[in-house]
Amino acid sequence: MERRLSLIRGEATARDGVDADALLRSVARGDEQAFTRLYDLVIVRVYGLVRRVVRDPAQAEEVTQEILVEVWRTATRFDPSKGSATAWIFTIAHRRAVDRVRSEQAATDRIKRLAPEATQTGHDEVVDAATSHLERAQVRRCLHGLTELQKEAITLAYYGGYTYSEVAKLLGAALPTIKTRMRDGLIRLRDCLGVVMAS
Amino acid sequence: MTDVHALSGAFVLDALDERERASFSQHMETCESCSIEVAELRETAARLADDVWSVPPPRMREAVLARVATTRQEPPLRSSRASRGPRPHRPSWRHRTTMALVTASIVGLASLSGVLVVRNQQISDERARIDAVLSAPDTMLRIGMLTNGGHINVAMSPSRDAAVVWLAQAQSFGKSQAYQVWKLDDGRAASAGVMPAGKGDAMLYVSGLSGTDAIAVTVEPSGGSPQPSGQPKGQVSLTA
Repeated sequence: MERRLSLIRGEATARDGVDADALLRSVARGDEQAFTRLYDLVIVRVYGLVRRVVRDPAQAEEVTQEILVEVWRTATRFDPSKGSATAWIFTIAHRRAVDRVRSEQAATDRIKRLAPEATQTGHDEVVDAATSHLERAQVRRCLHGLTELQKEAITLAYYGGYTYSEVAKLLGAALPTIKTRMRDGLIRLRDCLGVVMAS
Repeated sequence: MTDVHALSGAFVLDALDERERASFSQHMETCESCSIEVAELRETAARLADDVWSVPPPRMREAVLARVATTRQEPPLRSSRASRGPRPHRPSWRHRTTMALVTASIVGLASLSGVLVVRNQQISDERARIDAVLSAPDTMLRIGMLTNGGHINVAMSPSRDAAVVWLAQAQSFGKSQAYQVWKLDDGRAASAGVMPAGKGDAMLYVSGLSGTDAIAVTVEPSGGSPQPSGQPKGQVSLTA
């Protein structure tokens, strides 16, 4: 792909006055301090996502560590012309979380454990009190703008870690329908969030 | 061919099986519009993580940084091109406060490990007890706001019947006052320890939690008081 893509809007990278892209590029040059800052920038979302998909806290912790180490190890392969650092990191994170639940499912002798409510961290009230949580609100609002089937298909796949054939089974819908709803739902979400890649 | 093309959404959501995933990846190599669409949908999917926040156990930070220090990075891919020029981005204040809070608790813990550098056997024992709580498999972190700014963190392990309490971004005082931590049992307060005078960034090990339904912190004369002399500055429920 010769065209250089740049993200015009919808970039969820700039937080706390630092830019994940710049940090990740420093990390690629072996800068451990930049890695520490990047860690602090993304960890609650990475761990939150992994917890959501994997559910078991001990496993979520293990997977999250693997993800962060992989970010360090492969930062050299991050190509800013292909997307933001945040998207790159969460692509790795989601993939690893999903890999874990799928290998878990294959191990039939394991008892599936759901994280009990009590082990949820109690940070929500702090987060809610301390932030205007514009972005969270935006994501929620945009999710509400989807059809029920689009929303279910996307959230079951992303947060639940299900394949689209599993999602189809869960929703009692045809495979091609689910495939299509995932795509047009994400496209609608993209437009709502204002994510645009331009050449 | 639109059939493969239509898999972009499921691809981005990691919802394809391995075979479809491979075939879609292959398709993308020759389909520029697919690559752009996938890039955009990836940015979109990453935003779904905005809505899932969870504070990891504080020990994770040290563990990851230790591994990073001993892990070699891979060489860059030959096809990868270095970026040129600054990319447009919007500085954002939106999560600054939250990140500062969350980071502060994590950083607080990490730096406290430094504070707690072993000076003598007593401190070393304390450190071991703190580590034991922080690394217990059932440890959960609860956070409460302080009325005078900052917050109180309680990492509690039911299996160890113990907790570690520390404050983050708490107001500091002169040497005449100190933060005191209390175990609350049905309204009755028992002292769980006093922070060093003037400072809120020490870490206290608190054991014997049975019957304790909340941890509270007050400001007292340095050295502490037998009973809280005022309303708690912050409180964290252990039962909710």
